[in-house]
Amino acid sequence: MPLADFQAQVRGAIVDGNTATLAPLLTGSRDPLRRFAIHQRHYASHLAQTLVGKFPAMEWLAGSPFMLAAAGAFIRACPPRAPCIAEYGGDFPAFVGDRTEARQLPWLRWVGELEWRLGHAALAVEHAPLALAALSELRPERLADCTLALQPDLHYLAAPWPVDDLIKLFLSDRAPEHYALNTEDVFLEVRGARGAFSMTRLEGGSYAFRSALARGASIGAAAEQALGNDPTFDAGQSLVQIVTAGLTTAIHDCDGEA
Amino acid sequence: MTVHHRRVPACAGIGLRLPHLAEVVATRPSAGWFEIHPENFLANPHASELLADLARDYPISVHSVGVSVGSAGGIDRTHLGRVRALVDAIDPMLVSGHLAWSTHEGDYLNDLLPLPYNEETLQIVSMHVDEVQQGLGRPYVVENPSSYVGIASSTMTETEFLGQLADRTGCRLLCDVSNVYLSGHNLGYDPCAYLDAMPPGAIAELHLGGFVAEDDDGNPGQQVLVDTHDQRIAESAWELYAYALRRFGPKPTLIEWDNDLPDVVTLLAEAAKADSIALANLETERRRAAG
Repeated sequence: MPLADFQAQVRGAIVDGNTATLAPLLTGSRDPLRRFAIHQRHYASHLAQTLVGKFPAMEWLAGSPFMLAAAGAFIRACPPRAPCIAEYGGDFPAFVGDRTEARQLPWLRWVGELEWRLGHAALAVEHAPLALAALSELRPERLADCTLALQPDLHYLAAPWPVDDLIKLFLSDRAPEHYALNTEDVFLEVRGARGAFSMTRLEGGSYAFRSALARGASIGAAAEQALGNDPTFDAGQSLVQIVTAGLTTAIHDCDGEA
Repeated sequence: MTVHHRRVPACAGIGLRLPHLAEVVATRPSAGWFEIHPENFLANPHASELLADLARDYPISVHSVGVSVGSAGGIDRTHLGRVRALVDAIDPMLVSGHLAWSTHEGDYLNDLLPLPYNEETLQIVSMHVDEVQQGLGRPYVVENPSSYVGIASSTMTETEFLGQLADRTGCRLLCDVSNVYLSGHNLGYDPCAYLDAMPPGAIAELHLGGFVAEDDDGNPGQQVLVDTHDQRIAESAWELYAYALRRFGPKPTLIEWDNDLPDVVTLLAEAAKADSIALANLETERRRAAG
């Protein structure tokens, strides 16, 4: 059997549990399939535990059995596609949110979405910030077409629940007897570096502006999105704010970096 | 291929895992060298920054768990490029990986899976090791796996395969002594005979890691050894290590401990034990040579 076919069979056994045709390919024990189960177990349990370990607040809120079951389903449906397991799991919160078992916990997905961003922000290293003077070096008529590079530790999340409050509760390790969680749109900016992180609530206009810039929109397009959200939004003032706060690292126009 | 002159100390080193990183950076313990898994650092700029700082003071061995030289579908060149960038940043003493595969059609299976040892596999692995060495710009060091099953389509032994791989590619070999003991137990061969069959001139590094004995479901009343890297090295592996030193001479030796991590002091104590065995072995050899 060609190596590619052998590996397809092993992949099926590991991810899908399909060992029907694998036994004749293996040797080394009276029942090599049982030995092979060590590899299946390693994939299933080690990966599931690693995945759940990335979402401690979700686990705190939903419990380990729930999370391990969800992780088991996720790794079968969406195996990792690259060897850096630290980068695996960004889709897990949405996957959890779609599960029938999560219907009673509609905010859980959003806790995970925030937790994922906090985890990545904490691993970042900030770059040298853009000086405010760089803006004045550009011709004013070019500014709207420019894009900004933001700090790599910046992340944005719009959530329909105040999940930042839940994360704060988790971090404080306090579990109140009763906690009323009501639907509320929150617009969050997450920053962090070198093991630390912080969350800030933004106004809708600022969120639209900053998150659009983070997605690579030009300053003009980001301002339009912000004005669509908040007709009183002041793009010039907001631009100066994010530059002076050190959130930007470079400005690019069609002629190159300024 | 670029020739690198980074010192390769023939002493024991320890695995540097992320939970210990800040402590090691702050305390600068007396360690011969550190081994890292690049996959833990590539997505972690903060950890990479700390590692670059450490690399100025300690030799580092880069041991990849994600460069899948045994995958029929080819190696992940994007991943290899990222490993290369890290290697360029820290100039490690060695770069190694496994005689195994872990990717299939884009899926990463998060394990080191067994290969059939035959001519087709040898051609594929040789081609990929060549590609890795070209991609890294330096020799690659290939480790023998821990095995629970054999593959029916194998036509050569693991040591024959590794020897031919080294001959064809110029790669070096990493002999995981614990894996030799564990695989010998699980597959019924003599670990000393395995070491005798390894080409001593190709050995660049040794590994020692903890394993556990479990009931072997396929062989009632028997036990299977499972490579867990979660505890101290077994006495049987230490004994085989002494044999390996007599066969290969002093080599950089890694204490591998990846799960249920102890404190750094415990890891350093295991490294000191490896060094003391190596020293005792050297003394014995000297006395023997002196008649």
